[in-house]
Amino acid sequence: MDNDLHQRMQRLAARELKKGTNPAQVTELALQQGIPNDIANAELVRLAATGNSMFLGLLKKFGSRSEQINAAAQKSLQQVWDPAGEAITLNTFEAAQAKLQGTTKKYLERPTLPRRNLLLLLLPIVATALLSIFVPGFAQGIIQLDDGNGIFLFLMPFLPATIYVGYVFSLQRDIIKMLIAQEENWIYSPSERPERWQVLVKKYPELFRKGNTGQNFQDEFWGTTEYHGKSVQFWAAIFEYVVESTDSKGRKNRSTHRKNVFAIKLHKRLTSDFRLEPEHLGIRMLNFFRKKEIDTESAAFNKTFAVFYNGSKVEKQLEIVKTLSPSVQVRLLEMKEQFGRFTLQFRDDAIVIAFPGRMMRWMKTNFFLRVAVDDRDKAALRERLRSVLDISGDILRFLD
Amino acid sequence: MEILLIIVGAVVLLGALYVVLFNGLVTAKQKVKEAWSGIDVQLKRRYDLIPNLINTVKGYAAHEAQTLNQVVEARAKAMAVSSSDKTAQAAAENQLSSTLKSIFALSESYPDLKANQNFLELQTELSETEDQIASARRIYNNNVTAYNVKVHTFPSNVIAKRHNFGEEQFFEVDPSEQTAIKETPKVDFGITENTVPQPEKPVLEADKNL
Repeated sequence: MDNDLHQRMQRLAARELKKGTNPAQVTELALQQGIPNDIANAELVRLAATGNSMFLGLLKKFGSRSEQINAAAQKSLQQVWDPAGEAITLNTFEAAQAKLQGTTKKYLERPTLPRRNLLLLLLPIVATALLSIFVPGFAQGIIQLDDGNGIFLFLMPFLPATIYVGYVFSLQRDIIKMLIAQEENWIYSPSERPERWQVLVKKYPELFRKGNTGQNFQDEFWGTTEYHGKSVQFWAAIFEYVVESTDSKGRKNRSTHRKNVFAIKLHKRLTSDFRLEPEHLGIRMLNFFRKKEIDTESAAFNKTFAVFYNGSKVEKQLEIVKTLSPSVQVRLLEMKEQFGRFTLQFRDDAIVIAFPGRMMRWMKTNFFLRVAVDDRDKAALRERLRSVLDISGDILRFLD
Repeated sequence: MEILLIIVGAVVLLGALYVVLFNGLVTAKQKVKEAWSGIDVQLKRRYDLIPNLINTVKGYAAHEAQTLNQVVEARAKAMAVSSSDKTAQAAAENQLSSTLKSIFALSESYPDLKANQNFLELQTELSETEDQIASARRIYNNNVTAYNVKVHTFPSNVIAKRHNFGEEQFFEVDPSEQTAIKETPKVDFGITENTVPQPEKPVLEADKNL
């Protein structure tokens, strides 16, 4: 019976939330519909505690007489930990999320839109193909144009469709991430933020001073997760940068690189400040000649990681080896097995991990076939995020 | 002249290879020793924590003298085993791990003990130490594998034989012990919450040994 009432209240709250009804009036409406005050209140408290941004917005606008609701709302408005010290709350990225939700709504209302747009953008390709077949010398004529650069002209009709497919796939990824963030009560920012790089590169130059242009952070998550009864605060993001170079013939090359970045807050400040990087012969030789190589008791660990630090070996070795206890070493080796080569910075009250590759590669979700998120994509990404966080949480147990 | 140069070159190369292989064996053996001392540090840390644990527990569960004595005996036995006999030491340490688990199982029957802050801290510390021992053991065994592979494979086995580099022993957990360590033993003392004895000053055989 109680369950029924709770469910009815949830439905009522969701409906009234969309309409922008004053929370006080929602309670009155609930009473009119035979839902007791305590159940209505409990559901509104739950809504405030989950940090539902629409509900928090309404509370801000109309206020609430219930102390419990206000307390829950206050708590969810509290700042989360950020490695750059930026003031981040649940409302910080409301506008960007609203935009994403708006686009999602548009596609949900018109599910044939992606397919129709794609078909329209494929028309220039069809036209070029037909002209190439029926007009003798058309394709050859274009390709031979302008000193052989005509090939690019020939490929031009493919460009709009390619860009659109890329846009839709990127949108799908953003929506999946936003849904996970909502379910886990994390904060998510889909935007690309170059200004964020300006701050973080000062704090972690060893990790983020990469590329010559286009540095930014995107797809950022902030949140808290539980590990063995301890709360683990984290920030996760994709770090993107562009490397531009000119070869001996004066041709410009441009390549975009992406790294997954995780920062985990420790419950204490570390006495040692050092970085682990994937070991290779060059690094080993360099460290050997600089007399800075630090080896632990594990042959496998020494073969996998090189330790970088400032200061003399005599001063730092003891602190670093103490931090790299057997359990930490074993977890780091497990992490390498799972995620490949990564760089890890131990600094102040945080560890920051950066590893290449995509967290989401092949998606089952395909808006061109059906505008809906495939649960397998959500589960796969959630599992990837969780496994990084779990293994980091496990490392934290031995650092704290 | 050319043949002479080829012979000298080959001898120099062989000499360099000999040095590299010999140094590789020495380094691998050294890593085994280092890894063993890593285990030793953690084991000593566990030995140091046990007297505090016994003192805390006996204040609440004086009637469990037998369990406490078992832990004290297992600790004494583990400390007495020569570190050169890895198999015996592994068996003694596994025995100690098992008896420690039974102490923690005791707390289920003594709510006051379970709520004791000192006991909780010791429990956390011991559980972390167990984890460190397991990790140190894994590192040690990996190093032993790397070293033993060198001792048995060509061409380093030739140098190993010549310089008496013998095989190293693994520090292994007996599979049955491993299960015992992972599972919390179920201990039934036939005590209900109403019949839990009040803390009293115990007289333990354990006191003499600590």
